[in-house]
Amino acid sequence: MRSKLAALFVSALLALPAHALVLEPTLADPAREATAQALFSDMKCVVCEGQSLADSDAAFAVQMRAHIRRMLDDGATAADVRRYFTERYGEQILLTPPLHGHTLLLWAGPAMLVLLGFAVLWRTTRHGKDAS
Amino acid sequence: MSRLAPILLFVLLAVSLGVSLNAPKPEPKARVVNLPAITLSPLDGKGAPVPFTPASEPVLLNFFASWCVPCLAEHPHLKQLQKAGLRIEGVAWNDKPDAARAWLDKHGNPFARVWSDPRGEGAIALGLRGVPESFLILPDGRIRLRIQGALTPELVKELLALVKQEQADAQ
Repeated sequence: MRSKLAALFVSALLALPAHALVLEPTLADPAREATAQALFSDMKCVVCEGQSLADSDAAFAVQMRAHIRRMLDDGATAADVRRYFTERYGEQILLTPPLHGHTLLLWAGPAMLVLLGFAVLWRTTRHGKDAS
Repeated sequence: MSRLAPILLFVLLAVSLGVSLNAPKPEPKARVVNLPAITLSPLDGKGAPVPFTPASEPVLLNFFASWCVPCLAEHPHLKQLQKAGLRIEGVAWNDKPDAARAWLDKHGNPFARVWSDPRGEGAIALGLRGVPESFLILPDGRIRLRIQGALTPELVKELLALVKQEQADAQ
């Protein structure tokens, strides 16, 4: 029984995602490291499909994370980093697109659809009541 | 009318989806127009990283890798461009120097210089999205053309025409 449990424990350990084992040097300043982590989660990995920079193990993503850490270590702010990357990769690199003219529909779309749903529901129920 | 509404809505959605799927993919707006300050390391490992600066003639900076299949497909086009007189410099991207050297020995080396970018800083500064990717850099530092993906015979023609035109304008 004990050996079975041990085998189960070892296989559970082996099943852990590989990226959990990748060790990257972090920034000495915890606040800057937190900024870096927030940026990684809000940026896409440009060589992956649907992965954030934080989730990717691709060599280029590792280099991008190191680059961002170096920028922050040199005194850049999160806004500076975002600007640097959007200048090169477009706003598509951000997982949270900024709110302006042509992204308005993207932000307002879901709310508009919900409102439309309510309007249809209200109309149908009222129609049903009128009919009865 | 109310019975027609869902059908109309469906048709509208289908048409808008069809139009958006068939629309030409817009080129991402943000693009480096001028060559940023980048440093590259010689592939032979001799010497420290050096700033990559424009040359006195147009240069095609090509990012490639020995593990990249489309790079092999575009390789004959690079050799063709080199034969036509275009200066090409290569950057082995996320590749082992030995593997890149062996690959160039096997398939031919069209590059005037071969670089590596160990920390990926040159690639990031240029907004690279993968390999192969090429940048036509003019003597004044402008990036005149950027080609994401493998070169094709049509792109080779376009490149040569552009270089010819730029050289004529410069004289």
